[in-house]
Amino acid sequence: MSCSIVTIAGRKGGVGKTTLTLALAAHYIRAKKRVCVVDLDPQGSATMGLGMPINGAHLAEVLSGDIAPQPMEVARWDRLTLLSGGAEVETAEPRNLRKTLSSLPVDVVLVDCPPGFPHLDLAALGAADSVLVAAEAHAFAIAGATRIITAAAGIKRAGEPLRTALVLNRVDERRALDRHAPQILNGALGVQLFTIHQDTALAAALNSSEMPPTTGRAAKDLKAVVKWLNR
Amino acid sequence: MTSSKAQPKAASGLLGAIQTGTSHAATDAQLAKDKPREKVVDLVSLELIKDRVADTRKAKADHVLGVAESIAALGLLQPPAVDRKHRLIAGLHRITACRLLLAEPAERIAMFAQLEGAARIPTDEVEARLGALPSARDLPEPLAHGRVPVAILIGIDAENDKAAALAAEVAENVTRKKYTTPEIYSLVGQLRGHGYTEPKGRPRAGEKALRPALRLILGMSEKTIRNILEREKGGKLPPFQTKEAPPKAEVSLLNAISSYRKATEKQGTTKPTEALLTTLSELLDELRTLASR
Repeated sequence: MSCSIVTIAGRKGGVGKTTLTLALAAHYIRAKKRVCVVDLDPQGSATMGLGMPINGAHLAEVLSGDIAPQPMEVARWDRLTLLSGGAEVETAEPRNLRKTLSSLPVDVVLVDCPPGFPHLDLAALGAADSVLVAAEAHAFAIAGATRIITAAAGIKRAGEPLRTALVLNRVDERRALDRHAPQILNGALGVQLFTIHQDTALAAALNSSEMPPTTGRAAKDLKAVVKWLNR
Repeated sequence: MTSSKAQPKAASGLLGAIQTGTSHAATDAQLAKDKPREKVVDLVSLELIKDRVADTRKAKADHVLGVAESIAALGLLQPPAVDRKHRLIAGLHRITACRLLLAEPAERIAMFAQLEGAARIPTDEVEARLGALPSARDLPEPLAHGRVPVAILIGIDAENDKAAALAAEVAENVTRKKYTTPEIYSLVGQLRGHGYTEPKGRPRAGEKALRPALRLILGMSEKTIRNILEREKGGKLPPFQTKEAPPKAEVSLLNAISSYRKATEKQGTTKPTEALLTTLSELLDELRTLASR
């Protein structure tokens, strides 16, 4: 059976795309799945979070369809491999990404998109089986998320639109916007909606290139996302 | 209480954002369809730049030396063009000059001797001019750290589409950077600061001649360069207007190549394109070398 490709996008920066990607990676490898993280970010945030050197030269060639992917083993996390990001990725013009990533000998491929760079987002959507659109309960983030959701709606998999969910990150119900946003957005965007609560332990772990905690609010919220992805 | 007031306000913001995002998504889709990205300028390590696929031409020694002197003084002003795998498309002399500059001073003479026509330049002149070049760490940034600006033509894979690479090379070679008047005067000032002068008659070995260097950098005629320098000396800086058109012969060549490509694309025959483009490209290169002497 081939792997499942999940694209994590959001267009706006700082909405938790990389945090969501790495939290998911941790969840899957703890469930004994083999995971490959594809870091499409010229800044290489996911690569940095995994404590690996930022260098996008190999991924740039992979994206151009010129060579087969050879992910690196991530030293600190078992069963996790990485196609590292870096400045070189920005200038790549991706081709046949779905075919390339399908060939990876893993169970789950997590494609972490950069902020900005619509052409990289579009390529990652074209490769995906499912899309998680990261956002915050704020108009700026929702405008960016809508761009991704609209683009994903135009992509078909076996006659159906690409499976897409909106993930509201860092939700803190003491804030009015965070409290009301799920209700306002539910239905308005026509996609599944998840919320992940503010979790300082998760941010602190990734800040020091450590695996996210197995407990806490975010870990609990993430289970619903994983359940939807596995469906 | 606060909740009931806050909700409509939050809703207008978030739902408005969905409208904005939807309209931006339409623009994204249109842009993706209309304009595949063609070119990105980026800083790349010199060692990553690979040689041209079919190296029809060798770098000419005298040209490389002049370019190296100009890069040592001013940096690499016009990014060479590479394909998406960092294979050189246009700018052989610039890249060769950069390689020469980054070599150890002792290696430079051996490297230079490999270039075409190196034997025709007197040994004492070569030694004096190479010896006057700064060492790698004293070069202008980012070259001092081994990095050069390049224009990456991301749609092109030179190995698999030689005709496209050659057409791109020709196009790149006739599109010069447009220098504004203040930029030109700043270049003149910088070159003088690096010891470039206007010697009478032929420049002697080790002498840095200002006018040939400017011809090389700006791609302008001797007459125009003299005009610039006269105005600069007279303190009459602002009124100078540059006519930035590339030499007529280059424009004619480009037009010919462009019409030829269009005609062959219509007919669906592409076979002779490559050989013809190679010839035209060689001719263009020769024209530019002659013009810069």
